[in-house]
Amino acid sequence: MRLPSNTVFISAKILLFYLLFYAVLIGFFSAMLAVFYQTLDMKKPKWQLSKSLIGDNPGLGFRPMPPESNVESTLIWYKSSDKGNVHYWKNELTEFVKSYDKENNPHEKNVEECTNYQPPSEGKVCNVKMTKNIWHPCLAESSFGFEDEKGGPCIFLKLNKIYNWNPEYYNSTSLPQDPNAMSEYLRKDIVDAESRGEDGYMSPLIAVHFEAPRRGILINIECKAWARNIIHDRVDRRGSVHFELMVD
Amino acid sequence: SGFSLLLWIGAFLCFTAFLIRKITTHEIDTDNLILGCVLVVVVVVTGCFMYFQEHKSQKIMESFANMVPPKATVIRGGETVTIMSKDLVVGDLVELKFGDRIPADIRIIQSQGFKVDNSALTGESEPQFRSIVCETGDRTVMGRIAGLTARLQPNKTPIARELEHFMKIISVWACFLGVVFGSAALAMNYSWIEASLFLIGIIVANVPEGLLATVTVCLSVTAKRMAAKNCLVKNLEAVETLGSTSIICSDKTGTLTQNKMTVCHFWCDGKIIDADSTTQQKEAEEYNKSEGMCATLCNRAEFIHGQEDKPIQSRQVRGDASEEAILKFVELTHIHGDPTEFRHKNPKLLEMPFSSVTKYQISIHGMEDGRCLLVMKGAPERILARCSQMYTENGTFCAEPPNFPRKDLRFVGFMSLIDPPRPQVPDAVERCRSAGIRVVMVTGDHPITAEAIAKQVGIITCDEVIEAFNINIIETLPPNIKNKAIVIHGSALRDATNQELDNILFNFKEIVFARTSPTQKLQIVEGCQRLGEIVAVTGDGVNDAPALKKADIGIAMGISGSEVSQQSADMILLDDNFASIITGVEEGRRIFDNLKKSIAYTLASNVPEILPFLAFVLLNIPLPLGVMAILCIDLLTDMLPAISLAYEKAESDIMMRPPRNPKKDKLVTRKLYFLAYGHIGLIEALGGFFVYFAIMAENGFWPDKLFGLREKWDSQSVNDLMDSYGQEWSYIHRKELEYTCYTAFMISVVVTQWADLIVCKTRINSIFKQVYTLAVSKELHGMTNLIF
Repeated sequence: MRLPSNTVFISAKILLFYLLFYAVLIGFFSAMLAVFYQTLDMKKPKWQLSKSLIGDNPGLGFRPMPPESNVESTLIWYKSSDKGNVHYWKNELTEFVKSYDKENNPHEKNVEECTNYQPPSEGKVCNVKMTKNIWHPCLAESSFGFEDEKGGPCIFLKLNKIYNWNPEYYNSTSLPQDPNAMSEYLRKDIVDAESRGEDGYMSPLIAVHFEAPRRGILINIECKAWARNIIHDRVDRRGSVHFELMVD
Repeated sequence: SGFSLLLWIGAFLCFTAFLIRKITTHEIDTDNLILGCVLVVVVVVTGCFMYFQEHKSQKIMESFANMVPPKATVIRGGETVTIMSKDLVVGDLVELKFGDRIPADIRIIQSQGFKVDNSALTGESEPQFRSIVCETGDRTVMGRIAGLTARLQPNKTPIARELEHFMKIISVWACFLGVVFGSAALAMNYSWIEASLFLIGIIVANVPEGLLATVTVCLSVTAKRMAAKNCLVKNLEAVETLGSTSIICSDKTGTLTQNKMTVCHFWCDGKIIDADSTTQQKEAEEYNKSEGMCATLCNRAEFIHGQEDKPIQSRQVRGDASEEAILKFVELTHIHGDPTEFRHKNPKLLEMPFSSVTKYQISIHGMEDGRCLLVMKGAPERILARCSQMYTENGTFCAEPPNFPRKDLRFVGFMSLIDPPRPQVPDAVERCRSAGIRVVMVTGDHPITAEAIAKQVGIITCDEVIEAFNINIIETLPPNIKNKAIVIHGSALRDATNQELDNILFNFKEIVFARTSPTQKLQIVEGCQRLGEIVAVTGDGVNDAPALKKADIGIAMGISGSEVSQQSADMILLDDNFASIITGVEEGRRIFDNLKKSIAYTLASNVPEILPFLAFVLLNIPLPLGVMAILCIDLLTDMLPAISLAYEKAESDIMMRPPRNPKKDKLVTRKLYFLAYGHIGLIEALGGFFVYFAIMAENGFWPDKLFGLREKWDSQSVNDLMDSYGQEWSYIHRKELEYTCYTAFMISVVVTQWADLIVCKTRINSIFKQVYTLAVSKELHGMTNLIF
């Protein structure tokens, strides 16, 4: 039998060295990362509020969002007479609203019924009651308004969850000028948005029903969340959200 | 150069990426635009830097040329005018006087004892008026040599070849990575626009932006250091060439020798006495006065006034080189006091100047005691033929010549003259030998003289020397020639084939070429290059210009060198000293080692620059390191440390090892790649990723959450992206987090690069040994300073 030539032997040694070297390197990297994660709390983020980069000024999100294939877009565009067209948006919202049902909450025990404008008791979260009298027509039964020939859709707005962030409510004297003017057009509905990071916490939610949007016109909508500790900036979309709506 | 071409392509790709983004999504991609502009600026700035560096050398050169602006006194239209030599036209009558430069090819129409120093043409000094211009400009003999020089295409410098080789590897590697990951991206359902943007991104990320600037600065640092040691480098890339030189084809006159005739021995009274050119002529002083008398009187050379305070050897003399030597010798010995005074006391009554026909010189002097003395000096055979007696110390019989006798003279003695080698040359040749560099003498001089000088300076050390004065000897070389030296006559070389020349150059370690013509010098250089040697050529005459240009590095002489030779050379020895070449070799070898270190250092940071982008494409994580951060690393934080490596001391005695083999010892080798990319780069990248994952996790995004997050993360429309703790991040805050990661990643790369700098500081030695050696040498320095 012929012995492997010298070059083969050397290459094998080099290969073995790299295998070991990289194994040790990756092992060391993973071990260090594992040690690092031991220092982190699974329940609450290490940096919170202004110490964290997330800050203490929550933004807003809207639902339904355009499909992931069109992730750069914020345009909600549909044809109310076209069932297939409406189907996607309806489905998105149904799934979204479902997550707010008490039964679907993995920490059901933590959910309690709150009276209006009152914060929940320590360690508990408020239940979002999707009752017909308050939420109509923004319910799955009425297709969230998407199939309405004359009327418009319901768009859900939710305040971003920031761990340990508490809203500072306005009282009647501290209300800024702007919302007063706005209140003539919008039904004033102060939302409870305390978020101490309790299990089962769901972001505060409101539904905006566009009662009769003009057909074939692109509507730009900007929504702001108001609290004394929320500042707004249109360019950076701080404390606000922007989307477009077009109904054919 | 090839390297800037790579950067131009990089910049072009950046602008393409920018345009693709602009056309397809109407977004302004500032990152690519800035990167493109920065690349262009880098190329332009380094280009300017290189230009200024070379311009500076050019100016030093011009100042040399302008020291003596060539002018000529001519009779044109019946008027005598002084004009610039370049303004001469055919038909001008040129008046030449002592010491003038011949401005054009001339035909002598009237002369008296006219002699021309042909050393610029032949390389040797050998001392013929009114003349008519018959050829000007490019049609002169000088012009034809210059033409031959201009037509020669100089070889690329070894360092340019190395950088080209490196560029090829980098480009192939970059394109390979780009295509592999571009197609991987296509396979991962990215759109073709995105895939092509990735491809461009990967290619651009592979371009070491700062390297061109680093290499340029490193080379000019060395060029500066060499200039301080009297080696003026005209072409920056030639800085390293000297370091890889394996053969030096050296001219004899002026480079190895002092180009000054000196009296070395004299014979009188049956004794041979040494004359020392440097110290006082003690022995000579005791020597009989008659030869001194003859040497002083039968001599037309004179010291130029106003230099009495200078040492005798450096005083300027008007006259023939050998008479100058004798005059200086007489001045040194001072047998009869001051030679000028002695001449005054014994005035010249009649003189027959030296001519190449009679080969002697006679003058008759009226002596102080009223008698007349006839003294004669000339070629030994002519003088001896005219002598019937010989002077001895005991001979009291003295017969004055009754009249102008030309025979039956009394022979006084011999004086032998030599153009002595420069004192530092034997040592320098020895150092070349230990550094594995062969020194070959190529001269236009006589073979006997060449051989004698070669033996004196140590070019020939063998006892057995083959004297190849004709082709027969070359054709019938003995089989065992390993330990023999060879002296080849130009005429033998003329009849030799290229193969025979190669055979000689390959087999003989000690070679002297004598009586060579300019084209033969070129032939020798080409022969060496055919053997794969890196050839350095030194020369000062116009006849050397073609060889200087063809050589890998042409070295001209700053003081004695002709303008044409300086223009075709890559380097100029400001002090005309062969020994300066050794310092050049040392610096060249050192910069090659140090460039290797610089490149290893710079390449390492390429990995932590590319991997984040690959992870971004393949793992779909938010981008860990942005383009601007990469630019900051490459052009800011990596530049100065990389340049600092150019100052690194040599690790071992670099003058004790053979010159590098240009085929095997590349600037960038596989070993260097594996070290920079496979080891250091990877560790740096892991360090960066660690920091990236740590910061993401501390802010809420655990690694499992990050994978596949890229699209949503980068989408401006998603204003509520959920992290591992259920917190929802708006776009602006996410981006702040991303930029924080860029910074952290960048800092970790910078910090690991500090360690890399220490790693790259040495290639062979342990860092402790290097630091220790330096510390010890400093300590010793300190101690010696204390003692003395």
